[in-house]
Amino acid sequence: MSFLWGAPLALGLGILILGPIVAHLVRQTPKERRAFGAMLLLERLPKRNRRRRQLEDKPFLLARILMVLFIVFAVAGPEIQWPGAVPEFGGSGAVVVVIDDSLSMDLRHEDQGTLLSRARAEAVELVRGLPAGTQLGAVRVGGTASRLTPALTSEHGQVIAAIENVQQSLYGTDLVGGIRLARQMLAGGGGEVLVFTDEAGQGVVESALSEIALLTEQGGALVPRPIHAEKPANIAIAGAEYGSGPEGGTVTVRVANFGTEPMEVPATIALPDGTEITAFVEMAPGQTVEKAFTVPRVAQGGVGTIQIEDGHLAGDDVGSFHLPTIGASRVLVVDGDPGLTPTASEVYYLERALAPWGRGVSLDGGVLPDITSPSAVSVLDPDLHRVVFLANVADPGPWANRLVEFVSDGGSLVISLGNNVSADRTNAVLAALLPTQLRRSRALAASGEPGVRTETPDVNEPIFSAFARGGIRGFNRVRWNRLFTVEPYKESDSIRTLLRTEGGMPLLIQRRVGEGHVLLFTGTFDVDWGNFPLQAVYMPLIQSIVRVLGVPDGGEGRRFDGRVGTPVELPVSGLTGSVVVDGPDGIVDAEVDSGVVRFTPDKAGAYRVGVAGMPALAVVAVNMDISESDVRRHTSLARTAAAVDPDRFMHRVQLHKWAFGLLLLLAALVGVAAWRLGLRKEVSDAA
Amino acid sequence: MTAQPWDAALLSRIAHLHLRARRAVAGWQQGSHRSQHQNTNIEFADYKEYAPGDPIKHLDWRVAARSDRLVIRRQQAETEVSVTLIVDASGDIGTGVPDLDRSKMGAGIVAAATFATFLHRRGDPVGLEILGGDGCSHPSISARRTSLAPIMRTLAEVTPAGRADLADAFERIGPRLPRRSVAILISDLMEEPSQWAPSVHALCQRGVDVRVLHLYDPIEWNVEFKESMRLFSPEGGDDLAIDPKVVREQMGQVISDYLDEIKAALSHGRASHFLHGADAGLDSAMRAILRGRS
Repeated sequence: MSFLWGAPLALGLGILILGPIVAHLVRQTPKERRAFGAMLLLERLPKRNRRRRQLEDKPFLLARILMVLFIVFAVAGPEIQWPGAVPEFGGSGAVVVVIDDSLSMDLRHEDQGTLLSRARAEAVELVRGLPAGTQLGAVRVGGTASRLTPALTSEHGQVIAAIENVQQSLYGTDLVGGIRLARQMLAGGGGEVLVFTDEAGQGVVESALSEIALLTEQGGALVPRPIHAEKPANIAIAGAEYGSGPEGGTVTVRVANFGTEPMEVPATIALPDGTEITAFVEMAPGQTVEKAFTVPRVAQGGVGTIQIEDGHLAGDDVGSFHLPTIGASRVLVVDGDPGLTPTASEVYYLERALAPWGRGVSLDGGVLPDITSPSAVSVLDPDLHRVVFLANVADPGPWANRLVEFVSDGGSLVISLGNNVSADRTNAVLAALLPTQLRRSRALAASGEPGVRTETPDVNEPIFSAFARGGIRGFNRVRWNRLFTVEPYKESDSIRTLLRTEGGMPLLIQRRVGEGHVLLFTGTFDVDWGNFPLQAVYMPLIQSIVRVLGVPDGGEGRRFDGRVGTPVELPVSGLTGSVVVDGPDGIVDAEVDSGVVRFTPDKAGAYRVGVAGMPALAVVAVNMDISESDVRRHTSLARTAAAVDPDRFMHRVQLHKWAFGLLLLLAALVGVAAWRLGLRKEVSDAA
Repeated sequence: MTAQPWDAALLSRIAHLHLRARRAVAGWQQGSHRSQHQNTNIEFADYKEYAPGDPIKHLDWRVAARSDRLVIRRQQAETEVSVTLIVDASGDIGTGVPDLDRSKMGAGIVAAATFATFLHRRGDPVGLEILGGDGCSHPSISARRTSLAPIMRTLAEVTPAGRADLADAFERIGPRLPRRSVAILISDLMEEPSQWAPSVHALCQRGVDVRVLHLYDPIEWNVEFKESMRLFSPEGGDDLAIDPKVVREQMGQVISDYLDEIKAALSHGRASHFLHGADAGLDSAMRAILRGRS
């Protein structure tokens, strides 16, 4: 609070206030003098206490001071001012109404409707109260600010209609853009910008400081019209993410409580295959907690959703997350050499490597492969199988076309060789898949002698990442008596050698074909040509191959993330039909331009992009930007505006002179009364 | 001040008291003080079991005959001790009400006269030293047993004035005092203890039994004034205008600290300290002084 003095003379007169104080102290100076024999003790008193004197006749002194003070005030007529006022508006003849229709304005307060409805109603009432000639404009600031009226107009009915038509958005607050548009509407002239907002969102108001300063510079003024719920409360999904964990992994959901009360809400995640898991989430006020949901061991990949039950701002109660295909890496083994005994076949070792605990628990644990003979081509189901092992197949001819299609669409093929394999035949029918041409099988060591060692592979390769913690040296104990030789090939991005023998012979070669991969293993998966199945590295390597190759890169398509209200742009090419974007509420408007699909999601959830009747090309997990979910009051717009233009936000009270005259009289009466009481006391003391 | 500056009623009350020094004094004149020489006079001290080497002439044969035990009978000789009364007659001690019974100066004069009379009757040599003061013809009277008159006359004549200068006084008087004598200081001790404490200590080191009767005026110490006033010291210095209410709040702590300093200064030299309010009867203070206990 501060005083504004009407006359500079008042300051000079203010010095008079010292008069009564000095007079009072002079009057109190003792006249009696007395011999004192304990001055030594008085000298030991602290100096300030020794000299301090208690003021006597305080009411009388107060009355004296007040009398002088009131005389000064009566002459000066000061004005008191203090910050915090809401400035007046309408006098400039140009007014722009800014309506905040961001997500947080959807907050309800008991039966008073949403904050937006209150803002609309107050804005309309305000516009109706303006003089007829006032130039009016309107702007909304939810998401990206836009004009509700193209320019200032004197047609108030048009502005009222525009304000009443403002609909709730699910986006953040573009207060900066809103004030800029309002400033542009005023066209560099003076005028008032009335902002109806709940001031929610971290940093929203602060970011508008520069625009407010520009508005003030051009002669305009910002008039805040805060709209607040009595007890702002909201719970929002702050994020959801799949990660490693027990069973099939964990979906970690972050839920934020932006209210002032502790809350507990049910949260339900829905997996792409329809499985729902519900848990309760407990949060302290202002706290963000993480809740982990365990995913089953077998789950379909895609986009899952998370939904909480909260009575406020339904838009941020939903979230989405990508989920890879889990535990469903179905394997088909084409057994080219069944053998006379079970252990004479690759299938025996592959089965035990993939499902070591047997068929009974395979559904909960490992992957139980389907076994088929080279003749049963129809068994291959591209929707079911992700990895095909072609084990020692003499003539893969019947499989060739199916396999090429299978791999090109994202499946994986592992070719292991053996005594049955014919280089010529295999080269002929699988040329489109083989990383290189086969030559012939070659003996590396005589029978009974230890074979050639295997080199230590690179653990940075995904299929060897299982050995990152240890055991990689176990590959040195894998020895080979015979291997298939291959034609020389050139390493490239699509063809790479993953494993070699100590002599440098390729043992495992990878080639990318279309969306899938082919692994050529120049040895056998049984004990015919080496001791590989008997070594400790065998089982983890086979499981790793299935895990890495069995998960499609894109699931049901390529994966993307998006934000509600933010345009999503996806590159597509070679489309023959029209692109369809399927959102949580159905088909979403999308445009394709120069090989890019562009659409703006208006709700959290999964958005599948593709051509009608075809598998999705891409899937987008869309979530809310929760900055707007924080419905608590943050920085006051009035305070921010006052920092730029403090004079407009001052309360002012003019102190009238006649009031001081009255007070002067009252003080005089009090003074006389105090003086009379003092006299009476002196008389009684004397008596 | 009255014509007879001693308190006759008080004299009669303390007549039975024996002035006893805390330490045995040398000298052979009979008196009522315990001597460090035993078995040279008639007063019984105690019995002691006979040990080989003890003089046989001190054996109590009566006890031996009755109880068949050999005990040595021990006697203690009585001697006299000279006492010097040191009376503070500075200006500060003369403040307060002009009343022999309620003022510091009056209480000091009465106490000194009473001590002198009592000791004279007992036959102890008494001396007097006046510190500061004005109007007395003999401010310094050495200890003797001849006559009480000079002491009484000096006490009757003296009026408070000037400064006591305790440190100088002790240095001046100290050499004249006999070893193992008693010095009774009657003063308000309104001088910084740090200044006079070394002189007292030196006096005690010489074997003088120093006993201090510390006089104070409760009205002054409690600042029992109603109105603000300007105070001054008769010994000089600037006036000080005080508000009694304000000063009173702090005075208790100041006095406590001051007394602690005095006790520390005196106990360092093994001197005794007796605090006495001027408005109280001297009876208990006299008893304490004669017993030599704080």
